[in-house]
Amino acid sequence: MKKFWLNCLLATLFVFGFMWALSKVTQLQMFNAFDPIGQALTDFELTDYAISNLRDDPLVEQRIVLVNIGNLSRGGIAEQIRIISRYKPKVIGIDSFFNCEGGLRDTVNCPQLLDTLGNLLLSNAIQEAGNVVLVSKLLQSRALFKSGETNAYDSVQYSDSIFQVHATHGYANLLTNADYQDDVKNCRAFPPRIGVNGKRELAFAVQMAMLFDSAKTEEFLGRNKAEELINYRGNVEMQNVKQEDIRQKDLSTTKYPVMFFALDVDHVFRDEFLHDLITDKIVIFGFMGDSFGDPSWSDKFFTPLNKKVAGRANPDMFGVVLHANIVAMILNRDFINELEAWQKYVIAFIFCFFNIALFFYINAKFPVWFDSLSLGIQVGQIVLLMGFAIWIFSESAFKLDLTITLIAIALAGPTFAFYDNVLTSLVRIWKNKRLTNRKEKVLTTQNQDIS
Amino acid sequence: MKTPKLVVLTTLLALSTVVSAQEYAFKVLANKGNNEIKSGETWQPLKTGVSLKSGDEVKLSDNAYVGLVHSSGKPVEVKEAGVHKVSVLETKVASGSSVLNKYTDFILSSNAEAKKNRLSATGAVYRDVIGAEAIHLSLPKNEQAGIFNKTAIINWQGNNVAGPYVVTLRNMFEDVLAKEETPENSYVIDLSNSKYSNENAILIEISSKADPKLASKPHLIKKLSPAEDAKVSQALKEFMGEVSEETALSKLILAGFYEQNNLIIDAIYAYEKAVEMAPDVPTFQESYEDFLLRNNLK
Repeated sequence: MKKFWLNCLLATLFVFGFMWALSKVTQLQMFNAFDPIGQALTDFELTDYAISNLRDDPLVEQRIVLVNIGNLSRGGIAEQIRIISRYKPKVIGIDSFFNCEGGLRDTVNCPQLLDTLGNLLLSNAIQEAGNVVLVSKLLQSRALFKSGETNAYDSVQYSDSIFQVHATHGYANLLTNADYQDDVKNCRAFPPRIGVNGKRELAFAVQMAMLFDSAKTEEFLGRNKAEELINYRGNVEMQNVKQEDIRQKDLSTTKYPVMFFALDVDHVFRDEFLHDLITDKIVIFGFMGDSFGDPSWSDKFFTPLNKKVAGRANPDMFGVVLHANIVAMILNRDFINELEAWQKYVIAFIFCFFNIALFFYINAKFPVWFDSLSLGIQVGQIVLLMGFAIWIFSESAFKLDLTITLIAIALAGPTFAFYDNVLTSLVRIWKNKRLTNRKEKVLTTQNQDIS
Repeated sequence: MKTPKLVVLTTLLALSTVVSAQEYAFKVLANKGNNEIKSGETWQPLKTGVSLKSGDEVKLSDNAYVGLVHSSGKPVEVKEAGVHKVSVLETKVASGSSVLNKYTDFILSSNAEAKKNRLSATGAVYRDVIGAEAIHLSLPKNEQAGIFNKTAIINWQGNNVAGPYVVTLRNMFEDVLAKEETPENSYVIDLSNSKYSNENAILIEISSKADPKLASKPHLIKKLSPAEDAKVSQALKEFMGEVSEETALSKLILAGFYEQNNLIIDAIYAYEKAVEMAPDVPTFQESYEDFLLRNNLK
């Protein structure tokens, strides 16, 4: 019996060794060029099914109001802020940079400098509002970039000083796989805080939540996680469809198309909103298209709410709505918990170990049925575990990442066969050879020189 | 003795909370298009954040959208043009369904994907240029369609379409309010007329009498909300305080004020009046031409 369990342990270690070797080979990306399915599924996660389709319908967040700044100039945004701040919002967030990208300060690369009146109006509106949070951007200095460090930042880019002196800041950087702003952006997590030169910088949404409800925000930060998964509540998306026959179709990219109060550009100017709506709320100004229904892809992200969970699809959420989702998550304490890295390996090891034990048993008792039974067990377990991971996420917002377990189960069958047939045979041959050698050295009547 | 009083007080407080929570059926989350609410006898423009009660009705124009939040916190979308009773919308509020039901819906909706029309998209764009339409109206885009005064003047370029022309005025539900013929290339609308006094927004279209297919695109003229009207009135009072005379110059100054306040239709009327009062002074005509070019109206 002791030998049986030792064999199981060795076979399990062999599976993990094989997985490690496989991961090293795939890191070389030799097969990527011929792997369209792998490329299409790069951003896919199993829990996306739960968040986009299967979880309990979330409730509307009524403490946040979004205001579309469309393509307004700085003067136009100033007027919007002036109108909105008249009704005493608790916090105003502006999801727009008011500086010149790349630090270029000539009027060709930065024509905004010419709009002196607009700049003064905006600065004045921010100052008078008194509770504005502006976005900043975490950057790496040239020296840090050259060092190859990817997770550290040593500088922060703010809006021009005439705006930033009257406001607090939060960085708008989000965790995506994009190389530049207009690249395809898939966002499912964000860093809540980052230390820059010894100073704590907060994310834009966290900074707004902090000004609105510091107790809940400190509780959130107390989780001490470098990256937090976003528990998306919903979107703000409307369609502008003039063609009669497709107007009634559900063309929304997400299942929860309007989950926040939202004002379009002209609603603010035309006073087409209830003033009480603004009082004591968090109002976030940002770009949501030229007007509601504009299918613009500018500052638009793919999120797990997208109805299409993998492959090519339209991005679904404007950046400002994404920040609103983070604020809503903090205020509602709707955090997503997940397994620690070591827990993932332990679970995978346990599953793999008992699968191997089962395969040894089947191979010993029902050798004829081994192939079909082992395959059935593997497929059945994989399907059940995938379903379980989706169910547990839908029910309790716990992300049970069983990727390593699933790979271990999938590899357990073929690796066991290899271990049992090839390795064990090799060991047997080696052992036999050794014993034979010893035999030859023994002086017997057969090999004794009788002469 | 204190305990029963406390219980009664707590019960009353709880009841009042329940009653206040049920005071409304929905609140307006988001609103696109010219939508209206009927609370009582009159139709009023729908505002974001406003509460809807069970007895109210909501009217949506074409290509409009209203996102609502139920008192339970659940969202409801309304997209179909026409009148919707709030009591009917209440029945559409989804009750919570199990993961199994959601899974079934998800599977069925995934199957529906396979049946869709695969020729819905084209590899072409819509290009809208002045001159492509048979009759081009000198009116701003719908986003700048607000009007402060009661009179608007509509000018148009025939682009080889000879008069007489038919001027058609409709409300947002396409009901014809007025239809008149004119041999001229301009038309004056008096919004204080009883035909239009109850309408917040009017669509205007000009077509050739000989061939109705040769027509302009419908353009919107929208009255300002009372609050916005009061704001403009106040600003105008301060701006024009010292200019009381009705001269061409005062009209030109007035046109500048309207343009600055994004009231392009009012600015057109003021420029027209300035040119009419001083037809021999080319400066006014030149200023008007510059204004039309600046605002993409020519």
